[in-house]
Amino acid sequence: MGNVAIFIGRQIVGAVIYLYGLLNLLRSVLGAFFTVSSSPAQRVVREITLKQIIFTAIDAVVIVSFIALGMGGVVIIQTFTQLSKFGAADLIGKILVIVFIREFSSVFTALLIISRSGSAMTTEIGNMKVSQEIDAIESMGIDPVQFLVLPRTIAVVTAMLCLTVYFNLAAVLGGYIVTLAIGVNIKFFMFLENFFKYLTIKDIIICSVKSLCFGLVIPLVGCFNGLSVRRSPTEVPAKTTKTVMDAVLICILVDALLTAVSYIYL
Amino acid sequence: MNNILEFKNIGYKDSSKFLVKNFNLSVCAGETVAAFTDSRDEYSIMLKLCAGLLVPNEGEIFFFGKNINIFSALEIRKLRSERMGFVFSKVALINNMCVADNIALPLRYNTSRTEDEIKNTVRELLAEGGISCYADKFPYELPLGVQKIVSTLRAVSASPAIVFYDEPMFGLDESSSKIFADLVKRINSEKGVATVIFSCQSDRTWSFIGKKIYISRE
Repeated sequence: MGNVAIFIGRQIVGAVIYLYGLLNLLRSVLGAFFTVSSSPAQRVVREITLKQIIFTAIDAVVIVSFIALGMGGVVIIQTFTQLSKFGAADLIGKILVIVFIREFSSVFTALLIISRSGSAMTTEIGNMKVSQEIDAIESMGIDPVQFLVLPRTIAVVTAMLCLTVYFNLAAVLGGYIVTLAIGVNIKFFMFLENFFKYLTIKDIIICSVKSLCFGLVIPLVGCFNGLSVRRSPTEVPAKTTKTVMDAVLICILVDALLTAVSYIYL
Repeated sequence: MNNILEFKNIGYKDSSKFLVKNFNLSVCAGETVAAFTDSRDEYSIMLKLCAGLLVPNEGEIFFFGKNINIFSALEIRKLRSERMGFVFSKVALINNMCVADNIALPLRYNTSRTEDEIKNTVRELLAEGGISCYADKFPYELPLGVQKIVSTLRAVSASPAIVFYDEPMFGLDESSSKIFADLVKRINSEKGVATVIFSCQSDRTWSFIGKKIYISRE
């Protein structure tokens, strides 16, 4: 019993220290954000940010399209067939808004970015640490947070917001295609009207806040774990796995918290 | 002659054991110094002490007469970007940047020079190192000898007063070592850059070095 208590205690202390590290990194990123705009470094940071946006957002468009179209179709099949039995098929628009705008779009986009970009960040920065590239960066008088973490944070926040909007559009399109496929003769504009009838500013705010929070969590966790690699290349895969697990866990917890807050306060 | 760098009774310990003890060193403008040691740990530590990445447990480090132990992180960073250059044993080039961008990085990041000025400086440096043909290559496409040259050119691109080398000949064959040593010598004599080499190879490659010292633990 004593050992279990010690184990749990250690886990809690470890988690608190870890979260403190993440918040500390966030503070450094915000500091770097405000100092970079007045220094010559902004041209380099801008270039790296652009490359990261291309990698995180543009290169992920195809996979996001497939997932969103598929999810849109699945949700329509599952809900439409059930709602039809109760004569409530016109509620499909509301279901789409609740499922996609409020939940699925930001969560699925986050999971996708975690698996593609979050893991890549840890691997890249971890390998840079092992090969002394971070030491070299510091020796040139360059702040590693400004050079490595800031561009990735800006890029992932931007990518999260853009891909979430895109995910929603593709999911609605996927839903419409399936609606046609299962024999419901409805015009696209009517389908959209049914969707927008239930869409409120509250839904858009919830979706945007979630995307923004996930967009901050993913690069912070990815870069933090990459920077915590010490000397050995064998640490890199372990830290990459940790990034994926931690980022998923934190995003789900943040999602649950924001959903609860939105229902209580909005 | 004025000292650029001065180590006074430096001691650095890892947990309870001293890795460097009572180390003294002074480097003047344009001087060449080699500090030899038996352990790789020691010269990596010495390099990080010089860069202000580590703070000594004992003694003081003066740079242009100022004690850098009491500098803020921002002051140290500014000092490193303007006055110091570093060449690491593992080369440590940024792998997703081509050779020209690697050399240009300190200039783009820390100076207000225009892109044309930066490109001209990089072109001159590449010609000086005899590696103009590698300008668009990425570090992983280059032989180790060329990577070391790129690393050295990057270290001197911002015209520092002193360049530190961490085991520069590590992994090089005899002919590459000679080419590299010639470049180090040329940079020192033509640009008047003080040179400090931390190495465990006290061989004849370093015949041009003016001052040779040995680092001991106790």
